[in-house]
Amino acid sequence: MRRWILTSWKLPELRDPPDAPAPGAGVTGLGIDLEYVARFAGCARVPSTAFARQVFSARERSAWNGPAAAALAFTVKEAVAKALGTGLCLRRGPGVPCRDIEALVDLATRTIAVVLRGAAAARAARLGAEGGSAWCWCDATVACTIAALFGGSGDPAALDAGLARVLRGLQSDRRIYETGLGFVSGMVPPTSPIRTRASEACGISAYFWRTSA
Amino acid sequence: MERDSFVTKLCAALEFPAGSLTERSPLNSEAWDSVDLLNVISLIDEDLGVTVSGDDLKRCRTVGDLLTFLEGQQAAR
Repeated sequence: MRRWILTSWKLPELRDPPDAPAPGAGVTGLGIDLEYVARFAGCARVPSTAFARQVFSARERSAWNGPAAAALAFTVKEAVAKALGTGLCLRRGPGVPCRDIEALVDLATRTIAVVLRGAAAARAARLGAEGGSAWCWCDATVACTIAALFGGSGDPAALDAGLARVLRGLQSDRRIYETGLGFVSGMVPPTSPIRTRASEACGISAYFWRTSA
Repeated sequence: MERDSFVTKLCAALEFPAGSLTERSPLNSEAWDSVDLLNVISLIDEDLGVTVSGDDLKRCRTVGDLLTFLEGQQAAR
């Protein structure tokens, strides 16, 4: 089984990781999710909710220090699932299982790590994705992640238009947030303007890349 | 399955005020977001030992329909 490990950089660094693909690699998928932190209060309680126990692994739960970390971890899962073009399921149904996208969030150290495995890793491989980035932001009220998967080559305009829609949504309408972009099949060199513009819109907090296969 | 008890838990999972759901209430799962959906699916999985999909829930028009569907799933195990 191919395994994806996306490691974190401490905030607010925004630099290409050492194993970032060469310019010219495309974007295979883009996804976004936003959640209200208050909805995840049950995740941080003891005992936690069925939602927390079923959707998140014990390793994910052990990293939390409050509901904001749980909310942010969920947005990472959902944004990556949208970038994969599938959405999430628990174990059965359309979408990749929640636990196949593991998001380890530690807001105390401001670090996040993401691991794709199982159906999520297989889907990423089918898309030709060679790695990914997640831009995360949260406060006591709202958590948000934009995720991108990189690999392949293609039409720069499609991603550019998609990202513009996402960023407009971030600024104006929560429903657009939640709908997200879903999946943008256009491909574009992962150049810095994408990251710069996302940063301006939502405050980039973390940046990930595959470090081993 | 204790139907009243499950309806109470469903109410909590969907963040509705206590007692606001009855068996005749529309389930309206098409309007749920992913957190609602996963909350309910997780509750069903842990509480009843039945694994359902979002599509299964969408076929249930009312809370009572859902309970009947879940009882059928339990009986079929």
